[in-house]
Amino acid sequence: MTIAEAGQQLRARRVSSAELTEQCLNDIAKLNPVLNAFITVTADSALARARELDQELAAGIDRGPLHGIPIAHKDLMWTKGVRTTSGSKIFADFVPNRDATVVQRMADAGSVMLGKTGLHELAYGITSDNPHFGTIRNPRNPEHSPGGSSGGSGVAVATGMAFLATGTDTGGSIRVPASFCGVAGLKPTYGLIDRTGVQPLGLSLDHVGPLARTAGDLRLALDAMSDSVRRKPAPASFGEIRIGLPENFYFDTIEPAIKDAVQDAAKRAETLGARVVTVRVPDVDGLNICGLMILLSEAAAVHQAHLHRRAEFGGDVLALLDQGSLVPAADYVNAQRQRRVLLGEFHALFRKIDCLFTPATPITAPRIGQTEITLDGVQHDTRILTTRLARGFNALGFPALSIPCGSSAEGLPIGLQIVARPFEDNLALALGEALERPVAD
Amino acid sequence: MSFFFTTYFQFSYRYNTTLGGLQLHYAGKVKSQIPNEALERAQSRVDQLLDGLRSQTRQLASDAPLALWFDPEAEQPE
Repeated sequence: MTIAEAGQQLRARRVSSAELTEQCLNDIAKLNPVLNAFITVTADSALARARELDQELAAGIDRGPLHGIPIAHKDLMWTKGVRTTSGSKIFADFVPNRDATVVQRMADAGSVMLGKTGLHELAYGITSDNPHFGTIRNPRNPEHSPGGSSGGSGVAVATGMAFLATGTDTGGSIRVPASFCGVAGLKPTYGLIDRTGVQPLGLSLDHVGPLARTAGDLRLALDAMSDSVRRKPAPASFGEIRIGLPENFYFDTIEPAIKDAVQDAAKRAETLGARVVTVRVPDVDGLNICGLMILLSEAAAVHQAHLHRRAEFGGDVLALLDQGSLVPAADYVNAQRQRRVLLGEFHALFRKIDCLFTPATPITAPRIGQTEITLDGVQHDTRILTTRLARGFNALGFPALSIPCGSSAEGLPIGLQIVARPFEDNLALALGEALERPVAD
Repeated sequence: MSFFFTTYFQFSYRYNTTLGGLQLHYAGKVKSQIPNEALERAQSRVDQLLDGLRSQTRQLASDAPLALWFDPEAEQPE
């Protein structure tokens, strides 16, 4: 059931928020021992809040599409009185005295918080194999990774443990779990959603965004999470929309089934009236290096005060923080300057197109613990390969949506990435919504 | 170049910290947080990334702007 469908049921009094919440809590009780999507479950407060919201609705008070909808927050969003670990031993006992702005906005919109979802330690990685809170597992195949860092959010939404979950994306951390778990995830335009009260990682790269079952649900979530005035409206039709399909980089190193699925999605978009044009993208390898150097430096700066507590970090996160401590300041500055140059080149590309279609990830979910992957006879580092197609859009700040667009022969989901110009999040979402509708006979 | 860079930094961390001066004091701070056994691996990875980044930045025009802004009129958070 989508959020829109649940909303109809709630308003028709065919179901109550308390019943939806109980169902989600039952699913959490049943599935979480295996999949480990949640670090904290706030069952009692969720049920109490759901009953309040049912009473409001009965009294004619309707807060909008999220009224009475059970959701989850990634456990680096500050939640007043509820432990917020950031998936880290350092913050294991941290209980904020206020909500993050985005948490407050979603509560004001009538959502019911079920609990806090697990993540890669400090959101600094894409496996969600967390040494402190356990390994999060992919619901399609528990031997495979759900992706990360918002892995718990992806799993919670994919299994129905929550209708919607928040995530953060600094180098693919919403789009990778969306792609691996077969759900929709949006990294909105940089700065669109307020980050106050969200544990930072890459200060100039962090984005807050939603994960849900459909692009339509993401649109409802985004309306609650941000001011809609900053977003440009979606077009009335797709007749004037030019979709760029890259001829370089994005399909160079990729599983064949993913290439086929994304190209099929572009063909489907043509049937909606959009025009698909082949384009040559600027230097994405260079953009990825800039993004990574900036992230290493900024994350080391954020966590510098804790770096003497080395034994309390997981090995992979500690290694990245060490690397960040060694990046010379001059190189950080030059990475930021190079980022600006590449931003200009991408804006030039987006004067010829309205959006870009790429795969969200070049591989489907790898096995848990799989550190290398062979494509076309060449071995690749799994972590670097996983974020290869996503990281650049964090450096650019363009909105980037991942929606399911098929499955591999093993039944693992494939994600389509739709990228639009800044503040044209609605265009990406509208295209996503149109593509996820069943094809008419 | 990468080999030289790594060797130089390890040398400075391990042997030069007894000299006075601000720059070497900072090097000592870095050493205190990254043990020698982790330092070489971290520096090797950073060198690899710097090779890629610096080959790009050599092409940067001298007037290429920074992608960060400082706004003197920005209000302070509460």
